[in-house]
Amino acid sequence: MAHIKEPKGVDFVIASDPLTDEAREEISTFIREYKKKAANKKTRPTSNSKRSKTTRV
Amino acid sequence: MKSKQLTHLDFIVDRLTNSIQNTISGDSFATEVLRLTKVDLKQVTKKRGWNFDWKIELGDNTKEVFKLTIHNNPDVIQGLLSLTLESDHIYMHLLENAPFNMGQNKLYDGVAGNLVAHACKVSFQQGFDGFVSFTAKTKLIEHYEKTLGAYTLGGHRMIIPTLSAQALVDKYFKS
Repeated sequence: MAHIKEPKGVDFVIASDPLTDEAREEISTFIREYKKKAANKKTRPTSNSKRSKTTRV
Repeated sequence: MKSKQLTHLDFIVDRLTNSIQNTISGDSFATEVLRLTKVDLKQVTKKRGWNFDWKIELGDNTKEVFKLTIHNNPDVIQGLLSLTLESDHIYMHLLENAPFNMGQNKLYDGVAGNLVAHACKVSFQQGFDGFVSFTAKTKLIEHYEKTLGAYTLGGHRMIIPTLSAQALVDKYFKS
């Protein structure tokens, strides 16, 4: 089992600012962009995929 | 403008088994993440060394408040976390280690990471794909980037994306 250790002399404390509508929008934009990039990665063909051969008749 | 959706608060908290590590012996102890109750508030006061007012957090109906305890020792709180369920992610408001888990002589390591991993787990359970956001102190931004795989947004705001959240959940909740 792994543990995340804090740096020496630093305590891992979170005290977030209240979330504003502007911040919510910024976060949502990041999430949309992240998901879009992730979807593009999935659909992009791999470099070693074989190209289909076409023959002229 | 997005309105807060208070109806999001009815998720199930399962008894998650993770662990924290005793800094002296190096032994790991299985832990549980449970909801904080009014009874617990007696031991999480400023008089007892806690920095934040957890009574206010618990009294805020928009927030979910969790405690981390060692398995079979639910009376001793190791750390606390408050969060809200936003429309597309989890927002961590406060996270605090117990006073005896602060500073160079802290008793247990891994308390905060355990609670962050729990927030990621809740995010997946809610269908938010693991996204968890919070505000970081300047000196901790780099640390969060390295240890949590968090990204920096504007100012001090940070976000843990899907892949990093999955890594944290795997690290803490998979045997």
